[in-house]
Amino acid sequence: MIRNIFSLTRSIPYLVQSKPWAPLNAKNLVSVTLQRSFSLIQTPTVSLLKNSIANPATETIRTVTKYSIKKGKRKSVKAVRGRFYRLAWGGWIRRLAGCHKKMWKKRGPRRRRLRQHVLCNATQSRLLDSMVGSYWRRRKYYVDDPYEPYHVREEFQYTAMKPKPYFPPEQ
Amino acid sequence: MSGSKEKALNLLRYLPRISLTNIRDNPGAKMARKRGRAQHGGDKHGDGNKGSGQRQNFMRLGYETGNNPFYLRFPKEPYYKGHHLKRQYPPLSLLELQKLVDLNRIDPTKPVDLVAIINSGMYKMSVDQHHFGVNLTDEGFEIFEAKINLEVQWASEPVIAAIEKAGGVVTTAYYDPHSLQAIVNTKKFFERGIPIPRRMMPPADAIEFYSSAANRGYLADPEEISKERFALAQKYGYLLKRIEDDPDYEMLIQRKDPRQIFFGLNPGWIVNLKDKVILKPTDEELLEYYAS
Repeated sequence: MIRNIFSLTRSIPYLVQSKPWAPLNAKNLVSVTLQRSFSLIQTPTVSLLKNSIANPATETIRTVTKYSIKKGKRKSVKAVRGRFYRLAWGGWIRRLAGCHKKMWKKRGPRRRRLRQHVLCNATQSRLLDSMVGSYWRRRKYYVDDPYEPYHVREEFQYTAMKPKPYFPPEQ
Repeated sequence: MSGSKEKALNLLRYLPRISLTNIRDNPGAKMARKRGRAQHGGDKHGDGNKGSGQRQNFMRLGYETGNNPFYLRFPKEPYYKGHHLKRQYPPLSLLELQKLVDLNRIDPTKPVDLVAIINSGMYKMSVDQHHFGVNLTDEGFEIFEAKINLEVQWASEPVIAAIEKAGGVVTTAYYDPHSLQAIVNTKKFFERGIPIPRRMMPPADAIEFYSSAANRGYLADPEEISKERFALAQKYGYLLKRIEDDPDYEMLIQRKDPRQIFFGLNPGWIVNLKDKVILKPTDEELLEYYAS
């Protein structure tokens, strides 16, 4: 084993030379200092940039912009507000898939069902809430709003916001 | 200097300078991290082995790893079409208005306009959110009994009937956003020291509403309005009180000019709150500009 190592060092002399504790003369030191780069500036950054431009597949695509460039504000996903409508109590409504497709082959009851708008469930509503900005989550006060009756849920005990009317006991 | 010292200094001259690349900690300054061996010692902290969880590549919102995502699955519907152009009127119910009068937050012996309603502190609106003033709603119309000269921005037919039944009058008036900005915070506006602006005419899609006598528009013909008042009383079946015989006749017939924003103050005037004076323009050109 020991003989093997000795033979290896003999056959590859630079292994011994490159060790830090090996004696070196001044001339050799100068050549080493000139060759080594002690600065980070000299690291090859240009080649990295080149690679990312050459390969567009590595660039990520994000739908929600969390911080815009101009104002640092969150931006909404336009596809969401194009397809869904937010009610004031936090529910979202949508159309049914295929509600405009091949209507000639669908019978009356099915066409009636497809005309309706349906509610998203709680998980979906939460997702949609996070995909739009605060402007879309704010209450809108339009006059003659066709969705006016659906913005409040006073008829259901657990969602009613207004106090119950008081009727004094009869004498 | 001796030969050995000179040699040493000479050597030092050629040695590399100290920099971030060649400094290192003192021996023993850093403890090597030990590999845990107990129950959760070498654990992956619930992130699993390989894959999405371990690499923490959180997916973008709504992305379903290749599925047609939920937020793109349904056909488009113009729910929000033209939302940036639509005017919003935050509601105030007749019940709330009655409460404001009963609690002396609004003085019914003077004409009540948007300034009085906002100064009551119980109604909020924001101009930058496309709010254009009060929409008076019919909640509590059966118990409304305040006799007031009211000016709101939107009112429905039962609301108009409830106010006129109580012996009051109502006008619907339009204010452009610049005027509203002055109204929303009056003190702040006067402190700016700029002249009170002219009220602009309503936009094309609102002209019809505000010049209709049935809506008690501020641009409607007064004679038409008195006819409509009578017609509405017939429709809802109440006895219309004659304003001419009312002791508060002078208060009830007060109206703003279509160019006016504040009662008693004309456009072009500057209100100096510090010296408690009102500055009025005298230049002919200005008078012509601010004349309605």
